[in-house]
Amino acid sequence: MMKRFIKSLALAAILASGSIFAFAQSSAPVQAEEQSLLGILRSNAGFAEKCNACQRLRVIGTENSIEALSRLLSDAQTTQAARYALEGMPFPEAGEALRRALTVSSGNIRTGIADSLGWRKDVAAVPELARLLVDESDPAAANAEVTALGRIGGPAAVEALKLARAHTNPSLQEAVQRSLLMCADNFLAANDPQAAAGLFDQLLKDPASDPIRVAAWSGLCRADSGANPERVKAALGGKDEPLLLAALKIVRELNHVATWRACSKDWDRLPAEAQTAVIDVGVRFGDEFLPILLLASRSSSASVRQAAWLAAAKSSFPPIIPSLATAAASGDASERPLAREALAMMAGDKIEKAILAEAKQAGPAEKVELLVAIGDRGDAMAETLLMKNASGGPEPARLAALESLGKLALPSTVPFLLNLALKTAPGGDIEPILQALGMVCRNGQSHEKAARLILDRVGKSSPQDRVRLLPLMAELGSPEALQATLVAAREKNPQIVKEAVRVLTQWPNASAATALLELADTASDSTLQVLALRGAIDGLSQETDPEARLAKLQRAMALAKRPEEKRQALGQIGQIPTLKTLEIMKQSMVDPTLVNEAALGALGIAEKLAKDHPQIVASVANEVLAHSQSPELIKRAWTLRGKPPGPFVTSWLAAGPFTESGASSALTLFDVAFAPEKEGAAVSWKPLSCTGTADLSSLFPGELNCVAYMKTTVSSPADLDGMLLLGSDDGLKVWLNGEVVHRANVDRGLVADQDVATIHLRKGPNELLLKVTQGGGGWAACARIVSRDGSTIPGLKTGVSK
Amino acid sequence: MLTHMSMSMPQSMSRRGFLSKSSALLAAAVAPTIIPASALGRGGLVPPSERINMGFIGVGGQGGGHLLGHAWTYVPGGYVARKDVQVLAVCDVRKERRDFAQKRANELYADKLGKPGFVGVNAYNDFREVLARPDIDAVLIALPYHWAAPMAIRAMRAGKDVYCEKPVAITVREGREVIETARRHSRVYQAGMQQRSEYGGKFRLACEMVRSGRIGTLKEVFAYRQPGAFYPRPWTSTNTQPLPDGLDWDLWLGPLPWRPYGGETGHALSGCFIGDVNWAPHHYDIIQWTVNPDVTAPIQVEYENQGSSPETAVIHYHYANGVVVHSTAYPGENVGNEGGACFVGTKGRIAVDRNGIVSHPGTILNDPLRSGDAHVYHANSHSGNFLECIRTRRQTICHPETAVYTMNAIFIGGISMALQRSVKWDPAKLEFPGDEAANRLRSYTPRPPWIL
Repeated sequence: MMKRFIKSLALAAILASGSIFAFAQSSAPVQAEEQSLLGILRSNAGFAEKCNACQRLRVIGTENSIEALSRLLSDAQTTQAARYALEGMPFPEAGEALRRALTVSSGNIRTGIADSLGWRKDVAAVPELARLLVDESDPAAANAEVTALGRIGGPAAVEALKLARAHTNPSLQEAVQRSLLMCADNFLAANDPQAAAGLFDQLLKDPASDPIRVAAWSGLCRADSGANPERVKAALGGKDEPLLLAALKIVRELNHVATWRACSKDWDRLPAEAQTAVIDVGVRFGDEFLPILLLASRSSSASVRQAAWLAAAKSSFPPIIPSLATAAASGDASERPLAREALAMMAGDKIEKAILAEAKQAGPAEKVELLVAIGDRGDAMAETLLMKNASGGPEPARLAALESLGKLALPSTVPFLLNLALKTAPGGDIEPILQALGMVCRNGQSHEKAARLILDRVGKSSPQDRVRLLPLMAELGSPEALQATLVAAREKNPQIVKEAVRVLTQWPNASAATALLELADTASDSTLQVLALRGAIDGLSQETDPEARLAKLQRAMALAKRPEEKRQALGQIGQIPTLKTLEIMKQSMVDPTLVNEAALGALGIAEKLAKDHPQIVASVANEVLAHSQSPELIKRAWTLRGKPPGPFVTSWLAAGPFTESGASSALTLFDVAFAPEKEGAAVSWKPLSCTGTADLSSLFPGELNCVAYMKTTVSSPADLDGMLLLGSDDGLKVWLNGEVVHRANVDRGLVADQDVATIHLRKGPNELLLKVTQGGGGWAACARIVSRDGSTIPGLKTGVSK
Repeated sequence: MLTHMSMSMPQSMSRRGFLSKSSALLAAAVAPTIIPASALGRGGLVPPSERINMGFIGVGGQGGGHLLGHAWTYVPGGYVARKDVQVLAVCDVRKERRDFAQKRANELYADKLGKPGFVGVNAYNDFREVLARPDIDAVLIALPYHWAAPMAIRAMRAGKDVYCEKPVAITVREGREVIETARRHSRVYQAGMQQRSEYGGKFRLACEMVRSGRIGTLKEVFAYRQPGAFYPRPWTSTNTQPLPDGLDWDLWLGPLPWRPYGGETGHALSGCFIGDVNWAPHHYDIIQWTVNPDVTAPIQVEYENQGSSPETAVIHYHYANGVVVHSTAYPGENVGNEGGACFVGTKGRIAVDRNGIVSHPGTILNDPLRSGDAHVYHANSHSGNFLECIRTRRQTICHPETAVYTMNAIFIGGISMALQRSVKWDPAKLEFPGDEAANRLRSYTPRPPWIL
C-alpha cells in the first residue's frame, strides 16, 4: 500500500507540481522516471493513475515500455491511454504490439487499435485489417478498419478496400469510398498521378454520395490535368450543381492556363457565376486576359461586373480605365466602391499616364472620380492637372483636385495653394484650400519643406493676407510658427488679434500656453481674455513637466474671473497627484461653484496617494461628504474610506415579462408604460427573494427584449434624506412613491452600486418600484438604501408587506 | 426525427439558387453598401430559393451569439436577421440551450417572415442528424475546443461548407486533416479570426503598412501573449458531480478520454490537453498575416527561461525571412494587448489591437497607402465574406491553410514551453526534424467511436 502511495506521489509530482513542463530532463532521470511509471502500470493502481502514466510514456517511453503498455490495450478503461503511448512511439515493436492486440480484440477496443495502426501507416497491418474486415460485425470497428486501410494506402490497401466494396454492408460503402479517396490522394502525394487518376475515375463511375462524387471529380482534376480543359468547361457550363460548385472552386485553385483558355472561349455560354470564376483566374494570365476583362466590364450581370472591377484592381490594363471611371461615377451602388478601389490600386507606370489622359477628356462625373483616384494613388505626375482643376471650373472637380493635392502632399504645390488661398475673395470658401495645405503640413515627408515655404510666405505677406494663412501655423506647431502667430496677436487690428488668439488656442503642444496666459492677463477685450485663458488651460494638458504645468495652471486659476475657467483648471490640476494639489482641491471645495470639480480632483488624487499617505484618506472622504451633493462622488468617498454600505433589499415582488409586439430591442421599451406603472391596473405579482441580486432570468427564463418590475416597501423611522444604490442588467427606471428618481436606459451587465440616486424618505411606508429591461443574456437588479455617509440607517426596514 | 424535420422544413430550397443572385450581396462583404429592399424580395429578404440554409452546431455563448446577435459576434441581430440566410437547425448537447435557441429563432422568423407559429427551425442533440440533412448548405461550428476539428471534418465530408470558431484544432494532426478534407471535398471553410475583417480595418491597415515598408524593414514583432499547445495534464479524473438534467455528457466529451462529469463544461476541460489556444490565435494570426513568411520555410522556436516557472518563459520565433516574434509586450506600449501586436522595423514601429492603432513616429500613419503598396485580402464583414464565398466558391479571408498555419505557430511555441527547450519546425513536413520528443506531441488518440 505504501509503495503504491509513493508511486502515486511521484506521478502527482510530475503531472501536477512538477507540472506539464516536465520534459526537459537528462537521460538518467528520464530512465528512472520511465521505470517508475512502468511500476505503476504493473501495479494495482487505479485506471486513472495508469492512464496518467501512459500519457507521460507517450513522450519519454522507450522500447522498454511497450510490453507493459500492450497489456493495457485489452482493458476498456486503459486502452485509449495505452494506444496514446504506443501510437506515438517510433519503434516497430509498438506497431507489432498493436497488431497483436488487434487480432484478439473486439468492439471499441478493436476500433481504437485499428485507428492507431492507420495513423502509424503500418503497412504490415494491411493483411490483418483486410482479413478482419471481411467478417466484421461491429459497424464502428469496420469503419475503423476501412479508415485505417485508407490512411495506410498503397496497392495492397486499395485491393482490400475494393474487396470490401464488393462484400461489406452497404452502409459502409461511403467509408470505403472515402478511404479509396485517401489512397488516391496518397498516390498523388507519392507522385503517381496515373494510379490516383485511375482510382478517382473508378469512384466517379459509382459514387456512394454526392460528396464522394465531388471529391472524386476534383481529385481527377488534380491528377489528370491533360483532360481538364474540357472537363472543367463542361462542369462550369452544365446543369450538374454539385460539379458546378466544385468546378467554381477548382478552376481558381488549379491556375491552369489551358483550362482557363478553354473556358474563356466559351464565355458567352457560361453562366454568370462561372464567368466570375473565369475572371478571377484570368487576371493571373497577363495580356490574354484583357479581352475577357473588357467583355466582363460590359456584362449585364452586376456580379460579373463586380468581379471585373476586383480583377482590374490587380491588373495593369489602361484600356479598362474609362469603364472603371464610368462604373465609379454612375454604376450600381454595389460596384461603385469596387471600381473606385480598382482605380486607386491598379499598378504600373502606364496606368498613371492613362488616368491622366482620361481625366483630361472624361465627362464631369468621371473626371471627379479620376481626380480622386490620382490623390489616392499618390501620382505626382498629375500635379499640373490637379492645380489646373483646383484653380477653377466646376465645384466637384475643384474640390476633388484640392483633396488630391492634399493627399499628394508635394511641397512644390505649396506656393500654388498659398496663392490660391490668398486669391480667394473674402467670404469665399478658403477652407478646402487650407485643408489641403494642412494635409501637406501633416505629412511626415513633406512637413519640413512645407513649413519653410509657408513661414517664408507668411513673413512676406501683408497683415490682411497673414491673417488668412494663420490657421496653418497651428498645423505646423513649430517655434517659428508660434513666433509668427504671436506677432499677429500683437497687431492693432482687432480682427487679426482675435484670429491669432483663436489659432493659438488650437496649438498642438503646450508651447503657446505662456503667451495665452499673458494675453488673458493683458487683453483689453474680455471675450479675448476668456478665449485665451481657456486655450491656455487646454494647451497645458500637453505640458510634460508637472511642476511647470501646475505653476501655469495656478496662474490660470488666479486669472480666471468665472467659475467655468476655474473648474476647467481644477480638472487639470486634479491630474497631477501631489499633496500640494490635494491641498488646492480641499481649499476649492468650500466654494459652492467649484465643489464638484474640486471633490472629484481630491478623490482622484487621494486614491493615487493613499498607499504612500494613508493619513489623507479619512480627511479627504470627510471633506467630500461634507461639501458635495453628487451621488457619484459621495459613493466614491465611501469607497475611499473603505466602509461597506448597508444591506441589500432582499424581499421583492416581481411582475413580468412585459413587451410589445415587434419590439426589437429592450431600449425601446424603457418608456413604454406597462400595467405596473398604471394606477389601478391589474398586475400579477410574484414573490422574489434574494440575498443581494434579484435574478429575473431565473424567474422568467429565456426572455429577450422585454421588461419586468420589482417592488418593495421601505419603512422609514422618520422623514430623512438617503442614498439609493442600484445595480442592473440591463437598464433600470426607478420610482419612489410614484416619482421617478433614477433612469438608466442601457444595455449592460450588473455591478452592485453602479448607479446612485439621492432620495427623500417620508416617515412610515414608502413604495419603491424598479423597472428592469432585458435585451439578452443576464437579467437582474439589486438595491440598497443607506444614509448620506454610507452607513446603515437605524430603524429602516425594507421588504414586502405580509 | 427525420419525419418531423421534413414536415417542418421551409419551402423547397434549391441548393443551386444561392448562386444566381450573388451580385447584390457581394458588395455587402466588400464594402458597406445598402441594398434596396425592393431588389431582394419581401421586406428586403432574399427569395427563399436563394438563401443559404444553415445549421448551428453549438449554441452557447458564441454560437448562440452568432445565431441571435450579441457581443463578439459582429453580426447585428445574428444570422437569423440576415436576409440571405435561412437557419434550419440548431444543435447542442445541452437541452436548455438548444430549446432556447430554437424558440427564439422560430419567434424571430415568425415575425420576419410574417408567418405566426413558424416552426422551421429544428433542434437536435446529435449533430449527425444535422449533417444528414441534404437541405443544409453550411454549418456554423462553435464548440468546445476538442470538437472543433472533428466536427468541421465530418461536416465537410457530408458536403457542408463550414464556419468554425477558433481554436480550429487542438493538435497539428487535426489541423492537417482539416486542410486535407476541405481540399478533398472542395468545401468553403472560414475560421473565426474576425480581426482580419472587423474592427474598422485597423489590423489590415497595420498589415499593409508594415508590408509596404512604412516602418522600414520589419525586424521584430511583440505578440503580447504566450502561445499554448497540446501538452499533457492528467489524462482522466475520477472526480464526480451529479449530471445536470438535459446534458449529454458522453457526446460533450466525444473524442476526449472518458471521465465522469466533474462539474466542468465550457470551452475545454481544464488543462486537458490544451494550453492557451483560445486568445493566442487572434494575436498570432495577425502577426503571421503581417510577417508574411514563406509558409514552407523552417521556423526556429527559441525558448528563453525566465524565473523559476516555465510558465513565465518567453518564446522567440525566428522566421526564415529574419523576423523574430517575441511572446512578450513591447516595453511601454499598451496598444497590442487586445488581440494585437507591435511591429518594429528599421524606421519605426506600429502597434495595433482591437482598441487602437499607433505608430512611432506618429507621422507613419498619416501617409496613406498607394497603388504600388502591398495590399492584402480585403473584407469588411467576416460573416459577409463567408456567405459571399459560399456563393462564389472563392477562398475565404481565413481559409484552412491560413487558420492552421496560425494554430501550428501556437502549438510549436507551446510544445517548446512544454519541453523547456528550443525546437525547430518544418511547416512543409509538419514535423520537428530529428526531434522525437517534440514530434510525439503533435497528436492525440481520439476515443472510439469518434475516430476521424
